[in-house]
Amino acid sequence: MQLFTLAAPAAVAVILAIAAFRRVDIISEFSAGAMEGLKAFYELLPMLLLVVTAVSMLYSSGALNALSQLTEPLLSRLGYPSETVPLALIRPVSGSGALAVYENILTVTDPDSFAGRAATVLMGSTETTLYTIAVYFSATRLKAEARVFISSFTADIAGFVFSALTVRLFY
Amino acid sequence: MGIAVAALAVISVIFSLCTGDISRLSEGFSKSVTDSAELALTLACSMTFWSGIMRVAEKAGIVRAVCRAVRPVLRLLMPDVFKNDKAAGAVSMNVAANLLGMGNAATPLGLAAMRELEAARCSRRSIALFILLNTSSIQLLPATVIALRTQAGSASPADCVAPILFNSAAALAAGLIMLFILYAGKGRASCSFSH
Repeated sequence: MQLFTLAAPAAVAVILAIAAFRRVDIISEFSAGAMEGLKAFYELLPMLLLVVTAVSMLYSSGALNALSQLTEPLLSRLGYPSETVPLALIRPVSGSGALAVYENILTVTDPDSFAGRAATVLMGSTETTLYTIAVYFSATRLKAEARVFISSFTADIAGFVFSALTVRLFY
Repeated sequence: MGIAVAALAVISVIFSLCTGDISRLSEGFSKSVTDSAELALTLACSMTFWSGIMRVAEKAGIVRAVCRAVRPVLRLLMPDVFKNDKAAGAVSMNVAANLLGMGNAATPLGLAAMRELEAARCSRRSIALFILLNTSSIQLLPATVIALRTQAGSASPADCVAPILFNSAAALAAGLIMLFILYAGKGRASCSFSH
């Protein structure tokens, strides 16, 4: 497990070493790629600001807590942290919304707590499913049939259900 | 999405009026500005940095290597796609980009792959499977999550890599089982589409 702590720096080192070995112009390629990332961030920022504000309003009004408390009796019996429910609800629909809710969970609970870890696993192992299906099919003249949604949502629901078990298994 | 945001804002105000604890909402609202400044800075640097590194990885041939590594697995999962070189290439590139967490590159590659799948008249099952691979988010290094955990003051922000990978694989397996059940028999062979 200790080994995975090194994942990010090790990946950077390996990539840069291979690039240097293959005579890639690291500085100019890095800058060009980084600019693309910065541009993508620019495009994300307005939406992110709006959603972060809405989510933090929802949180500080107490409505988000009420939602968590509503689902708590059932979920705690299943051994599930209710704090992650808002994340599970918004994750399939909106990437920026999920980011905002996830960040909120991390600041409200401790990132190394059970709820923080379950939220982390959920955030990392699921995608904006509905959005992805809509965008991908819009590139074609095909219609997304029910079976596409059912199989993708099965994976999402499984990801939600498994996340608490995964956290128990690993920590 | 616009309506959803509006609904959230209205619900918040009504809810805090109902509970009578109005000051918490206005405090939270002002705090959200500093919150989003922190979040934005973390995200900006993380996205910029990893995008730069991934471009270097692409130029060093690492994306192509990952692409070659995933091909045999994909060939097994969607044999009809691999009768068509263009479709097979586009699908493998997209999966490789997703594995490396290259979100910016993965989407255009995915759209190109969808068009190739359509043009090659690949089976509905293979298209559903390609979508499933994209929505189940298998990623070798969840850089954004690690960055956000670091910002939130985690003692070991990167210890989530293995659990996330495990959970993605488990979720994908569940999705695959459902997909194989749904497409048993019908829709497996290459067939034309009704638009």
